[in-house]
Amino acid sequence: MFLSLFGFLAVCYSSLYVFYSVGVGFVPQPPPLVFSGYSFLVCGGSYRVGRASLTFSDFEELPAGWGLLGGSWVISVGAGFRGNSLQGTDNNGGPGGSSIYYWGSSISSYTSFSVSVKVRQVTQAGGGVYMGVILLQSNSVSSRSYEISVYASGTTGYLEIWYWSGNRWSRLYRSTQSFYVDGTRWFILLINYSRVASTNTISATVYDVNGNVLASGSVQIGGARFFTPSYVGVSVDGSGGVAGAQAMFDDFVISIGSPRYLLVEGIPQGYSVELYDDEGFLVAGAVSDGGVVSLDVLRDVVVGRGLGASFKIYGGGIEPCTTLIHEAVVGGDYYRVLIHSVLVNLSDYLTRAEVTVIFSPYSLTLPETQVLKVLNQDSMPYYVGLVFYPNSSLVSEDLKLIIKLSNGTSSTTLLIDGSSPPSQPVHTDLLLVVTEAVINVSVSKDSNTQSSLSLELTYCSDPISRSICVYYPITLRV
Amino acid sequence: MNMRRKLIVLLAIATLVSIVNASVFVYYPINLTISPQQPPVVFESGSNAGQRDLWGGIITVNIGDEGTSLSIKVHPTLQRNYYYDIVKIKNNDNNVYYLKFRVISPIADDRVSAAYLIIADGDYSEKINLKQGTLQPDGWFTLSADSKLRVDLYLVLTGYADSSITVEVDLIYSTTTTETPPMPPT
Repeated sequence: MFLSLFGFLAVCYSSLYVFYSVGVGFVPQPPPLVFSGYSFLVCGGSYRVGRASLTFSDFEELPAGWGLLGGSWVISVGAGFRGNSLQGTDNNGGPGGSSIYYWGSSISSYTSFSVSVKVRQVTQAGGGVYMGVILLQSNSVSSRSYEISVYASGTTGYLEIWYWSGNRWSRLYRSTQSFYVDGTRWFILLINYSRVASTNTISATVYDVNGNVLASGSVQIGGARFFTPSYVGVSVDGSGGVAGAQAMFDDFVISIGSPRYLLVEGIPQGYSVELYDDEGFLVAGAVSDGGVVSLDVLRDVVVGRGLGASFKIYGGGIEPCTTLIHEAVVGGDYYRVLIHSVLVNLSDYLTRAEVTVIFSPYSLTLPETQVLKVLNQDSMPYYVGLVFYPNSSLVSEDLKLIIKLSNGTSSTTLLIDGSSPPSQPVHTDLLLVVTEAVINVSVSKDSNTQSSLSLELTYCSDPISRSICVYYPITLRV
Repeated sequence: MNMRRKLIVLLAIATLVSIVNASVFVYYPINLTISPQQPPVVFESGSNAGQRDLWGGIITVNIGDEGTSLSIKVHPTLQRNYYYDIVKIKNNDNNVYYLKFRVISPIADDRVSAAYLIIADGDYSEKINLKQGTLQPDGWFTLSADSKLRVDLYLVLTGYADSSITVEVDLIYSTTTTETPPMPPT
């Protein structure tokens, strides 16, 4: 009887199920925080890897190591093509009655070189003015010389090449083409000199400042007129031995390469590079084919005032970058530019971010760079942080990565060292974000091995209770 | 003779019909005593019930019927949303109970790629998949005497336009773990 009752109760007890009703309703909302960002280039710097010029001067001041053979030579402030210029006044005191200002170092060991200078007439004397480049056998008044000049008579100009034997002038060349000259026009004189055995070859071209050829010619000089030039300078002379002719000189270069071109490497294929002088004037531009880009700087071979320049790199529809050069940039220089591409792709209504860094072939270091913004569209602040998930990331051993989240007044940082990656997710502190925050990244690595990092942006309505926390995915490939 | 046989058959049929129509009804007394009790297991608000949700909304938790029914309303957004400690399940009894959940109307809305109620007891937790109309979890939660379980909500959304989304769930508790809970009559 007792056993029957116990069994009955046991069955009843085990059959008890109580059901409570639970209703859960979601009202999906637009995202209060969104990513903002765009693809852009990072100029990681630039440096000169070569220089073809033996000397140069923009004549912002009288250059050191130069000397004169006749004439008076002063800096004319503000009268240059850019900045100042060198003004020479002929007094018939130099070789053959010309006046010469020359670089005091011998170039006799060079069998070929180029000279570029910009000239502008100030005053004619005896019905004309010779203004140009002189190649001297020695740095004395009695030196033989070759003079390659723009000769202006009235408003007509020619390219002329003369030889001074020590007691008489011989004209070796006069261009058949003439061109208009006045006191406002600068002319570029580009001279190529070469020597083979006892024969000198001098080729010269006169350009206007837009690079148009106005005149050109070439002579071969041998026999009694042959000598080995030792010094190069600028010269001014009047016609018929009359003193008082004046001319301006600017952008002087002696180069063992071509002073006309500036060479730049490191520009991604299809991207454009532009060279600006120190005052922001565009000097030259070209599109890269992925190799070495040649920029034609003929119009300003000592760029700007010789104080520096900047490269602007752009293309691919992404934000350009600019890199500054804090030294004189001269035609014949060879620069390497470190360009990194940061490609930003935002999706899912700006709640998912993919950031890919493509490194320059010459640098595996990305300086601290802002890659994303986080915009708070809500009127209430949120507490925002970052989470790194090592188990879903691929981290190369040589990677050193710093990810910094900043709200304008404070910041929190994730440090990821590929040689000792964390085994568990790593969280930053939570920062109060009222309107916006930024995410900066700096990367360095030793090899081109790519890492793919899985991160999340997290934001919470309350940093302690974490009543609601939202997580947005971020993929960072470096 | 023929006539006699027919008469016998007719009599047999009449007898059979009278037996079928005359059913017997027997009455046994059953005494069912229902003695309503205070619910031993109840819902109570979590620490974040009534707290701020996204866009200035409120995490709404309504508990009714003396703690035996629950409705939750939240305002999630895209990607992963985690609502922490919005409800507790409390055992007021000094006996242990065992819990399961049955998702009555699972979420089919394609804006929701994942949705879970997360039932946590300290470091231990189980997920109730709100997109799956089954009895969950496979085992039973143990709700010890005079203890509480924390309820969190985890949602992953891929869209936010248009209407709200609802899901109905039954919390089932029992004093035993030996049988599968029946489907209650509607």
